[in-house]
Amino acid sequence: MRNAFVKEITNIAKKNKKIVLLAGDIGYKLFDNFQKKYVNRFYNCGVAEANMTTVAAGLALKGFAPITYTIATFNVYKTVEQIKIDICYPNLGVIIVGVGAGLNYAGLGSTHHAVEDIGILRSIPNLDIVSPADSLELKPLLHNIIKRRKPTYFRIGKKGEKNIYKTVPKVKIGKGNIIYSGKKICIIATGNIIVNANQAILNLRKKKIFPGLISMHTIKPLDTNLLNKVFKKYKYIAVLEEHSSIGGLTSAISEHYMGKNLRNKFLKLNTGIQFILKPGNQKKAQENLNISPSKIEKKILHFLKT
Amino acid sequence: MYSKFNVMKNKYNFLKKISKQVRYETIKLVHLTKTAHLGSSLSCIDILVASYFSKNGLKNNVNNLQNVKETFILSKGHAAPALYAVLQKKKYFSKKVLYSYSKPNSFLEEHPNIKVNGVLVSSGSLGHGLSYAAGLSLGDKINKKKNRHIVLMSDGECNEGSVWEAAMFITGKKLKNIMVLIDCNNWQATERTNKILKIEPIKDKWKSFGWKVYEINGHNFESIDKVFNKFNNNPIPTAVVCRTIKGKGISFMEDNNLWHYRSPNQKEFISAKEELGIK
Repeated sequence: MRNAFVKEITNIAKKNKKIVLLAGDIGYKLFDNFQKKYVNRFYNCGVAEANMTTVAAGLALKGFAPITYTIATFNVYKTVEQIKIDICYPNLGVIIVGVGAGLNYAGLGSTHHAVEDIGILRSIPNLDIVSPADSLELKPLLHNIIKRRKPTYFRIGKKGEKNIYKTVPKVKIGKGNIIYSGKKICIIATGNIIVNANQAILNLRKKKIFPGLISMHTIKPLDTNLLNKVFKKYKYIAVLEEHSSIGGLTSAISEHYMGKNLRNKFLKLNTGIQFILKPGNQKKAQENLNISPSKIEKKILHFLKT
Repeated sequence: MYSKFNVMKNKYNFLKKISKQVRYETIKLVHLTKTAHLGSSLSCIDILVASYFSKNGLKNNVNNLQNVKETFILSKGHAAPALYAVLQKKKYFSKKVLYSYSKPNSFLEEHPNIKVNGVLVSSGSLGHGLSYAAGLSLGDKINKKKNRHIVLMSDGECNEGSVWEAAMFITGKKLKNIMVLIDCNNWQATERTNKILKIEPIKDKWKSFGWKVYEINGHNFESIDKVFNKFNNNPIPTAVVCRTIKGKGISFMEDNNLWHYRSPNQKEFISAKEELGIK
């Protein structure tokens, strides 16, 4: 996904001369092409994320469209005050890219697990939160974000992720995308973890279960129009995210629908509330946290019996 | 014998007069609203006045949000009443607006707010101002423009790691036209600055980060004006260690950290007014 991001932003920057890329000493050789093409519009800001974030705000005041880029944990956890005060309060069009979000860096340990990022950021006013499903969905979303010029957290993966789409989809910020229409049960997922749902769905179909699937790439603003329809159509709703059960998509949905007397049944599929210890790699961690394809399948079979 | 020396003296007398008026307005604002940070405001008033009113200081129309050119950032945002009094004197807003300070429905909050005319960034959480200036200067570099970006911060603020991130970034990226004035009043909220974290030798610290450093008396208008002049002629990253006195100008507030939080009662306000010679 990071390669898709760099490729796309390099394309966009050709026309959009306002784009300035700031990186926190990350992405070895990743930005070489961008740097070569736009000598004055790439800056390695070092391992100094707080400064990088406010530098971006300063550039935005000057009319630029800055993007800060580093590993999700660093670009969120070390900079939350700068994001709030310097970017979101004046409502500046800065894009904060969190690369390797969720459990992409599972093996690197808790320091690199970004499973609280959405929860940390979601309560900050003016900030949009976007988490593309794959490299193909990333493309139109990135274009859309740049056009909107609003503070945005762009939560992306690392590399080699499976795609859910076959071609570039037509998607828009704030509008969830229906991947499959189904019966009885619908899985609402955000980010690349959606591919695990997809795999589970393919197996469930063999058992005559036909779940719907939605890519809820925008967590904020939440597409409540679509959710209203989904809750009407499906009795069983599963919310899937590679994020803590606190503060993410599940929380966003719960908060919105609290007290609305829904008759649906809900299944929460996420990374829980504890530190993720001895994870091995991302695949293994997902398995342990019940969000691997087989575990999702199992959970859904059980869920439908409730 | 007369002419030049006296003209100079007169020029700075003018600043002295403004400074007295700004001190009075600041004390009055804090007194009327029973708000905090008077000591920190008084320590930097001479720096603010010199920055906005001296010959080599800021031009008019600083911090124009519609077209950001020359900027001034009060990074030690808690000195907002002093900044507001100066901005009012510069006619960025009316006296009526000034006296809405800290009142409901007023953007003149106890820390600067971007929604106030003449304010570029909302400060108050320490350690952001210099990074902002870095971003502005980087923008100028890309646009091939030369605008001055002046930051006023406090010695206590240098506790913040982000200050040093910005200091390294600015010299590392060879940015220009940034001058930081450090109000070194030797106090922070609860204790002597150098007793909490080892800030001294502050001059050497900035020097070692690649900055041009001056050390001056932060209450001497001529010194501040001269530093501006030097910076204008050679706009490399410049840090000015301004030695100041917290609570400056009012005898019973000077170097007394009680006035970090305390606001003067009626009696104290009257005696401060008398000391300033305001009728």
